[in-house]
Amino acid sequence: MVHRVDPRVKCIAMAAGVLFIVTTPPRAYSSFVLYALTILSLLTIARVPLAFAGTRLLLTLPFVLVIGAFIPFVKEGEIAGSYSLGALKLSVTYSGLLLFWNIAIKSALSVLCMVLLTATTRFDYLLRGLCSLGCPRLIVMLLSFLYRYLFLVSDDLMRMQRAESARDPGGRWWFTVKAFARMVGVLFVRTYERAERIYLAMCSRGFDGTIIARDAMALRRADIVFLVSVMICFGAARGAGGV
Amino acid sequence: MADEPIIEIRSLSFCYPDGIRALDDVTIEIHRDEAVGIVGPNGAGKSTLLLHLNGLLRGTGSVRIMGMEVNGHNMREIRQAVGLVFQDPEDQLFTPTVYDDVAFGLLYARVPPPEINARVERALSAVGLRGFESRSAHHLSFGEKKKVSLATVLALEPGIIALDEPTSNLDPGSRDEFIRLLGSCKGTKIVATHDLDLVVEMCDRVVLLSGGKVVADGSTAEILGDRSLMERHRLKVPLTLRLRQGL
Repeated sequence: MVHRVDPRVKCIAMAAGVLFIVTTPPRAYSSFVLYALTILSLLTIARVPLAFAGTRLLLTLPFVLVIGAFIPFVKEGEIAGSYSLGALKLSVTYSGLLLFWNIAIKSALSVLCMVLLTATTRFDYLLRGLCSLGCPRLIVMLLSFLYRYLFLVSDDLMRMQRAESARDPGGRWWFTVKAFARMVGVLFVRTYERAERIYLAMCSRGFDGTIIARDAMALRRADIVFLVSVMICFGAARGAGGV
Repeated sequence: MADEPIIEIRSLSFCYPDGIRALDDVTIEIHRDEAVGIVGPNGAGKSTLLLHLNGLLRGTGSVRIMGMEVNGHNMREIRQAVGLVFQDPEDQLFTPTVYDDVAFGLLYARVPPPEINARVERALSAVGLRGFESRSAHHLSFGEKKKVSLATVLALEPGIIALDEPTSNLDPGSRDEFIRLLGSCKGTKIVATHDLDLVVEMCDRVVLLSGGKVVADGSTAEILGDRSLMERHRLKVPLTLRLRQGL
């Protein structure tokens, strides 16, 4: 059911969701529970396997850890505990821990919102949705090329790597590093040449530099119902946490 | 005028920016509904010639399509008149879905949206891929990609279809299917290829290019059957002709 909702509606609903989440005070624990329940129930209704959402979530974990993990140690305030590692003395503060929790929970919930959006919306619909929401057409076009050619470029790289390892006697690692650097260079030149051919193909079918979007999509009643109910859920969750 | 050539190329020369002279004083006339094979060794200028047909490259000399001189002012008409099918379908199919690819030219030809749907459907039916509209080109087989590439051009209903190496990389089954499909397409066809058997099957006339010059222009059997001419230009008499000649 979520899959059939207009992509514009999903974009707005999920962007609003993220906005609600990031403006929630860190101590509003009940709000975070309600957000999580809303998103998880939407994921369940949309039949997105929770394991899939979980793996996507794990992908963002390193970023959160790198940014957030130092905060409890460097933020000043009341000390929750301290450790001595030889000459190094580390202390964790309550305010630092709270900030870390704030970053961790908000990023996790926001990522889940985006997982819900991308897992239930075909990429071409998402692009059309972005386009009719007023996202610059040039950006939409760039995203569409990225989506179309990403795998092709990575296939190219894989073939080059295979050709390289077929001739690589093994051993000295810096040879591999050098070969890889060369490969990246070649890949860039190939991609550039492909881009030129694509441009010719576009021109030969009348492309004149302007970007024309396809006809607009029509909103249905179900889309409005979805938008309103998701907004109410997120709003209520936000309200539970106070201002 | 019924016998006015649909394509008229006069003294066309073209140099790439790196100085390579790809076309040298080329003169060719092609008439309506002819199927012409452009053959020649690697680097003969076949692809360069095709790119001149709809103004993607502009050399010195003149190119006239359906009586229109190719210049900077009539590109839209020229590009609707000449449909170019590129060698690599990955270059021709650049949007997220098959529908968008086939509709691309129609959007730029300012065709009204309801008609776009009808023409996309017609073009995809013509290549036998109706129902593929929402598929991504990335997930199609190579033969299917080739067919969609052809559909992107057929949707524009051009009077002239120019194909660059239409059968390269196709397995024999897909190749035969694609040739049959090309045979069923109406209009003037120009095929630049190394697949000389394809030329024997499809074209009544052959233009042999070598070193950017027109070396020979005549009937398929006469040119492709001329063993010494073929070998001089790093080509071979195609098997189908050899069998026919009983060689």
